Amino acid sequence: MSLLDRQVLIVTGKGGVGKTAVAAAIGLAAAWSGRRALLVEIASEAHVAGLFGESGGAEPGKEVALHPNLTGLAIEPQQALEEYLTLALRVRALAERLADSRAFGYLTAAAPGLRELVTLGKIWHLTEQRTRDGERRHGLIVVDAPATGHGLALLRTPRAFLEIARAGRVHEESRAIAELVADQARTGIVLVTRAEEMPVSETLDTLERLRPLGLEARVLVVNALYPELVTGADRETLRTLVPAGETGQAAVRAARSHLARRDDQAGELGRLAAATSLPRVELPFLFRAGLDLDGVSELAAVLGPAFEELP
Amino acid sequence: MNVERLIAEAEIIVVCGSGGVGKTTASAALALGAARRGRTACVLTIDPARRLANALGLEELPDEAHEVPLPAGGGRLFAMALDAKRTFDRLVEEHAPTAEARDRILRNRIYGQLSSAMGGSQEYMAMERLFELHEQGIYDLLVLDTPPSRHALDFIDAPNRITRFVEGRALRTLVEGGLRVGGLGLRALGQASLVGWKALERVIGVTFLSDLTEFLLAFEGMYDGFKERATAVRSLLGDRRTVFLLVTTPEREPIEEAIFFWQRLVEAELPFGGVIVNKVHADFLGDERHRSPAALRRAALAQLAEAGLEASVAGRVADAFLAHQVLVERDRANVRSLARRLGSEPLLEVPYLDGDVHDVPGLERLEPHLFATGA
Repeated sequence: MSLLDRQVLIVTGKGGVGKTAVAAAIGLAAAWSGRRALLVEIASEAHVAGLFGESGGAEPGKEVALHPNLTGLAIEPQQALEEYLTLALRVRALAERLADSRAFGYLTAAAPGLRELVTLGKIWHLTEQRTRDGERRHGLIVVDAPATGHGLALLRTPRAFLEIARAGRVHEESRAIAELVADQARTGIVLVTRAEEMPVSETLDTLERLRPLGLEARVLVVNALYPELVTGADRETLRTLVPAGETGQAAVRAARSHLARRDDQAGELGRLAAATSLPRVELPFLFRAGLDLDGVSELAAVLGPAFEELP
Repeated sequence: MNVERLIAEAEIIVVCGSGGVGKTTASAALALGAARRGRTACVLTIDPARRLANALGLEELPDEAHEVPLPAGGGRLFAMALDAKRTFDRLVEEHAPTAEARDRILRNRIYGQLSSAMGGSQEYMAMERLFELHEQGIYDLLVLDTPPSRHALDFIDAPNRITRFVEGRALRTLVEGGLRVGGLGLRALGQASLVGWKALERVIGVTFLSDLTEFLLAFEGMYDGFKERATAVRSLLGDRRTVFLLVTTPEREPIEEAIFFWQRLVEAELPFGGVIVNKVHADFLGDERHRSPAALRRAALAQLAEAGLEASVAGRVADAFLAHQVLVERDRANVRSLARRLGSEPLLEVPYLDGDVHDVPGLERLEPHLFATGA
């Protein structure tokens, strides 16, 4: 069973490391392999759809086609909560009245994590959906989760609710959600990082903090590694070289800077390797003006085969 | 942007921006710069990266200020790692009418979640702690590094939200609904909230609701204190002693977040100081000449060959150069568009330094760029 055969992959990592790009690339790679993939983001507007050139995907709660075999869905927590209430109460008018009531507003403010819970609950619900023939409706659900701090809060929520809501429907569903998240056969946690000091430290810290939750990451994705454009052997030559022209000088400075950044990245990769034996997938830095479908495809071409190999 | 003047005049600098843009290092470098100019500065941060935390002495005890030894002269630099739960607990201790009410709140399961895990509570507590430290008056300048997340904006609303949350009337409706359903039969209730309550009970379960009721009741005596405090915090943040700075990198997504942030600050009438664009790739060519990549490559190769560089090495150097120029151009285009959208608001570009910044010497390398007078 490969990593792409899971029902849910939850992608998290420090802010700014490229979580969304990696989540999109995983979804694309799964779609390429013939799996039906759903890319889920937790936000009030869909950003991911933009990567696939979809401008009409901004509406939360609505599944949009992004690519053959790939659809996208933005989960907006407040909306998911209302949807959940409708489902639970079986009466839309009552659910709407409740959701609109001030008292309910206070309750959601006071009941920490309720939004996170319904967000995960929605994902759980997606895994349960069946087609008319009884097949699972979604092959792989890739979740572009919030950055680690809030991502961890999200993963912790079902267990917290088992504790605070000790009976009733929410309790039962929290249990089902907690089981889904912790079940390594169904769910995989993908930690994204960059080979820089702060993201690496946060990644190592996250690994520690997952453990008491009974959770474990399946893979580390190290994003944005500089390719070896200038080799270490060129270092000495470049140290003293001063071309006469401005362009030549600029080129030498850029090459030196490249070497320095590669050194930093090598150091951080070493630190990561020394601290954890988790499998690592390394993605290249994209020298592009911004992320687009070509960029996502470039990442997917690396991620797909690597994830296919991972258990 | 004139950071020099800003540092001299402000008592509080709140640094915001999305994750990964270098907020913590920028905050620490601002505080360091202030200290070197003779002020007593303290940088407050939540969850700093380990090596920087180490360098600033933050690993020892959370929620306590540590002096960071500076090489020579000037003022003093302190650093503090915030602990949201501890601040929340202290607030409860301060405002609880009785020891019994205090203990009931601190023991309550809902409170336990609220104070440590709730989205936005960290942000709010950071503001609360900021206010507390400002009141104490020990430091000339406080630099707050806000938590990195999409929730980062929550702190703007947090005082209002907390006020709304603990505001007596509506809460009491909810609480009394709970008591009535629980058979305690208080005053007659509007039908609507009773229906709502029963519906909730079916979904959430009785234990949860009774915990919630207990929590809200225990808060009863604290509403006024909390509300007063939240109003004071909001007024300090809107005051001319405070300035908000945004940090971004010259990449599309963080810039969008910064713009969004800026609009929220303006809407909320909070004092905005400007945008710091961090990690801008330096253009080693110096001026803005527009030559095609092919032409740049030819020129570089010719000049490298002239300097005696072997052709294969020169080819690699040219590759690195052109890759670098792609990022230079990207950054330039993005910064230009940011500047256009910001209109007359101040903007400062800080170059992408070689080598991670994670210690005091690193901050010292960053500092002059922050204190350079920008456009």
